[in-house]
Amino acid sequence: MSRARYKLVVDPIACDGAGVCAELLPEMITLDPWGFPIIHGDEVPDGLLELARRTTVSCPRLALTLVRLDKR
Amino acid sequence: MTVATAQALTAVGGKAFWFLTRASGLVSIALLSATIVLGVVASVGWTTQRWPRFVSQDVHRNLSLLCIAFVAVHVVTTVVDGYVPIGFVDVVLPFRSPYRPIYLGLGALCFDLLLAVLITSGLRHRIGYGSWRFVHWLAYLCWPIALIHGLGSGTDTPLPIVLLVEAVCTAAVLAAFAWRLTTGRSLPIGGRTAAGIGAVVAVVAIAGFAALGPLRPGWSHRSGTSSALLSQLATKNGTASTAAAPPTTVPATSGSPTTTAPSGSSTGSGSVPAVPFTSRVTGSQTQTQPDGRGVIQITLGMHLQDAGSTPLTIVLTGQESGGGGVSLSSGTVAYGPYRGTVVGLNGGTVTMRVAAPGPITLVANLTIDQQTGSLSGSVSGASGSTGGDR
Ligand code: HEM
Ligand code: SF4
Repeated sequence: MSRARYKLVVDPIACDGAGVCAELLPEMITLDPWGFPIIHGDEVPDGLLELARRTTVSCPRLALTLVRLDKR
Repeated sequence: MTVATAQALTAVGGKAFWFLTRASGLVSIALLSATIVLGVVASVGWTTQRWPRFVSQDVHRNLSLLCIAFVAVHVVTTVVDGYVPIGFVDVVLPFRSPYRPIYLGLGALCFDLLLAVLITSGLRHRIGYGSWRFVHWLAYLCWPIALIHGLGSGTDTPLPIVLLVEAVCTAAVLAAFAWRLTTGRSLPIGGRTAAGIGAVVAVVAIAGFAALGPLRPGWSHRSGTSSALLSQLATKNGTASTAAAPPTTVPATSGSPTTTAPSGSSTGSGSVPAVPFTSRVTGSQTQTQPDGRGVIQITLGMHLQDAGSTPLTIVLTGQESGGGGVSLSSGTVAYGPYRGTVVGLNGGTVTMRVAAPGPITLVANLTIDQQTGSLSGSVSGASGSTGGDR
């Protein structure tokens, strides 16, 4: 079974900049001075994938999604 | 919950379910309020170092699940208790229960809304943000409906502790709502103003309703419980029996030990109509004052319009409960020279098992005039013990 690879994508229009994602996944997400998320790194490392998935579920605006890297 | 446990509990405690219903109802409104407050705390984006927004969100979600669990207990115990004739259909289809139709209907409506909010939250990723948010806002509507449901149908409405819980919940939800309206994102000013005015009007209306309705004596009578539950139900619904709801069983074993067999009218001709038959009946309803222990008897005396004018007397025995309601515990029947018991009570429909001398089942559909106490309707008899079973 080949492992699926993912990256995190923010929908800047849907995002309200309230920063739940940065609370839940500080390893990959920090906030700019206006509270909008900056994603660090491209591929989500293996060990963070489950946390990243839960973070997308917790985004109140559903603005954060995991997008597959290897299938395009 | 199995039927066996249900019966055991009914036999042992008699009122255990009824207490559970009331207690879980109160806990439900408190949990619903807390859920809403936390939903607002999350939505306005309030955070501190110690209490990040995801905590509000997660606590909000978990409280909502706890809330629905208590609502489930509330609903199941109401149906299983059998004191009030409510079926599982009445739980989701509002305004068709024979018992306090409006207030229980609001409860059913609230339950539907809660389920909608819960299910759409589970499917948030599938249905998209817009649809989820729209349905989620119904949660605000749910709250006043739940409150009116509780005020209007609660046996315990006048209890100080209940009023205190309701007052605290109201204050908390109102404050949260005001906070949401003043800080909220993405809401047009017109919408906010309308919602604010709506909330104020709703609160004043509910307070007025509580003061004029449930908190004045005799509420259970007016709202459709009555000390003569049966007659109230019958007048509310005409003679239309609520066929879809399972019949409510009046347990013959639990409750008052002072059950007396109906007497007086048992010296009839000795002949009763051959089954199957259907006959019109007329008669009257009388009711004793509660004795020292609050036990009352409701007597429905009537005659069949057959050749022998067969007398039929139904005596329902019950315990007076808070707020002027009666918890019926047993019913006995005199039918001509024969005896039997009441096995089901559902709206204006009484189901009886009589040994005449072989087993027959009588089903009476009765309408009772509250003013005069006169009753009319029809009785049909069939052989065996069909219908009205548990
Ligand atoms: C009994 C069920 C529920 C009630 C009464 C309820 C009520 C509320 C209320 C009143 C709000 C504020 C909405 C606003 O003003 O925009 C809210 C927000 C929210 N609720 Fe619920 N809710 C319930 C269940 C759930 C469940 C099961 C979830 C599961 C995911 C959930 C997730 C959310 C989220 C994510 C928000 C937005 C929070 C934010 O913007 O940070 N709710 N809820
Ligand atoms: S949690 Fe969602 S809405 Fe909030 S900042 Fe992150 S991406 Fe934007």
